[in-house]
Amino acid sequence: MRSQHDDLSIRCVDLTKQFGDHTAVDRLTFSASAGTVTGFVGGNGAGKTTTMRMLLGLISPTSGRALVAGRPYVEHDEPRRVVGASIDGPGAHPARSAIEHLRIIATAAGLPRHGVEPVLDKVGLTASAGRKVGTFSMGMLQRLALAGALLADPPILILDEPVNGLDPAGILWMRGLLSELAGEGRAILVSSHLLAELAEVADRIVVIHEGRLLADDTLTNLLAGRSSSFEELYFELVGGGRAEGVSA
Amino acid sequence: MTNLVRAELRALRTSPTTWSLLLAVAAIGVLGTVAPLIASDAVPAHFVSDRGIQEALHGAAAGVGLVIVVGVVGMAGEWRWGQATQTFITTPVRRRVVGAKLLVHAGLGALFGVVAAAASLATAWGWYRNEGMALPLDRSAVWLTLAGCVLVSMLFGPLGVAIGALVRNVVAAVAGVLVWQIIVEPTLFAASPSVFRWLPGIASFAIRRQPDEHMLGVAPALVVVGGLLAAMIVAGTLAVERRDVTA
Ligand SMILES: Nc1ncnc2c1ncn2[C@@H]1O[C@H](COP(=O)(O)OP(=O)(O)OP(=O)(O)O)[C@@H](O)[C@H]1O
Ligand SMILES: [Mg+2]
Repeated sequence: MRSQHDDLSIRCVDLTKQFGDHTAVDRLTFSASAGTVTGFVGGNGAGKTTTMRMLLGLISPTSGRALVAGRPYVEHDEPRRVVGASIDGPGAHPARSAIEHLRIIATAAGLPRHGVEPVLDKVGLTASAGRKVGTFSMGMLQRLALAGALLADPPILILDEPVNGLDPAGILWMRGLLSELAGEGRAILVSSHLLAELAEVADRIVVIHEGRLLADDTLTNLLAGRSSSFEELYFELVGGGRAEGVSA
Repeated sequence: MTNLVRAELRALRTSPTTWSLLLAVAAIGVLGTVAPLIASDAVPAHFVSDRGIQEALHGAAAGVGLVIVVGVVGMAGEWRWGQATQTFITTPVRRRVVGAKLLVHAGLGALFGVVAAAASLATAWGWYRNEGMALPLDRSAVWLTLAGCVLVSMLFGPLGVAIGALVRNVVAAVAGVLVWQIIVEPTLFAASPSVFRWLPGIASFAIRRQPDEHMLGVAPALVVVGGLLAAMIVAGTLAVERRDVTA
């Protein structure tokens, strides 16, 4: 299955999205390659989620290209086997149980049903598998969304703020999981506002501001010759005071 | 496509709403049949005329309005809890999703129609017997009325899906459909039957053989409802394919 796609990476080329006359993503070019965790950072409204939606075929780019495994998302026959995504939460009906939600996804995607239990186990939701999603806490919703992403064991992962809502133990667990998944050769693009946490897991960092690329390098290179932390570097890059508002 | 149909069926089957609406359709079929019969002061000969039979079995059609609602919720509901994101991540060629829903809701419409028809038929049969008459089961008026009800139900399920694809807000779409069916069309038809018999809901009454001399014939009525369905499917599918999915 995987040998079909020799290029197991995520790639944006001159990617642009305009909502009306507002440019949310502006000629963005970067890539995230196999075996690495790429941290995707930028302030509120910087364009991270919009970029990820374009990579997932949910939003059509105004111009430029958004490629996963060398092709636009829509051109993959079985996209869930290529890319796993956690974005907008699990997308489950609140009256449905976690396990039923995943079974419906598995059925639609043509995946074997017996893959559902292991993935619930992997995200630590086995005990809550039969509970209605409407009763889930924020951290449990995050875990369920991640379970959906991992369902088909894809070589590429796109995760929008996956640690948001996780407790300290959960954050630590996610750090281990991301390293493990990247260690298995996956390409992982993960957005987060927790810079210190991201610095712990990310091999590479992509910083955007008002839809534009500010930095794209390994953390080691970015911090080379400096005594500052990643957080300080970030504020230098975006050039803002700490009380800066949402980019319009 | 088969996987999508199976997933849709699975979602419908595991939703309590589906089953409660099916029960509601059966209940409406019984009540909608028995209430007018009890209220009627017609002479016995009327009840065995074609028109009397059509009136008696008219209750079979009452659940059809609910079929549209199920279709609307089945499609527009995707945007309610963010399921759309997951659905289109699984199936980025979005017309396949719409296609699977259209098929499944045609089937569900048939099921609802058959349940309503069976409830109405059984109720009418019992009432006739109780009144010392016999429902003439060998008459085409019986079967054509019931078949019309099932057919309309089969068309209205996918129509609901198409409406839901166009209007993504579940509450607005359902309210719009109900107001249109219950208030707008009957009012216009009462004002000018010869013009407004071409409205789709009124045309569906003709397919269901509602006794009324102003109705269209079955064939033009089928063209009206079928044409509307086709146009709505095209418009709804295009809307789903083109619009950005943002949460
Ligand atoms: N559907 C939409 N219509 C109009 N504007 C939009 C839409 N979606 C996003 N935007 C705008 O695009 C810009 C980028 O938004 P986006 O959600 O990608 O930011 P983000 O980096 O994910 O922010 P956050 O850290 O707050 O999640 C914002 O200005 C936002 O208002
Ligand atoms: Mg975001």
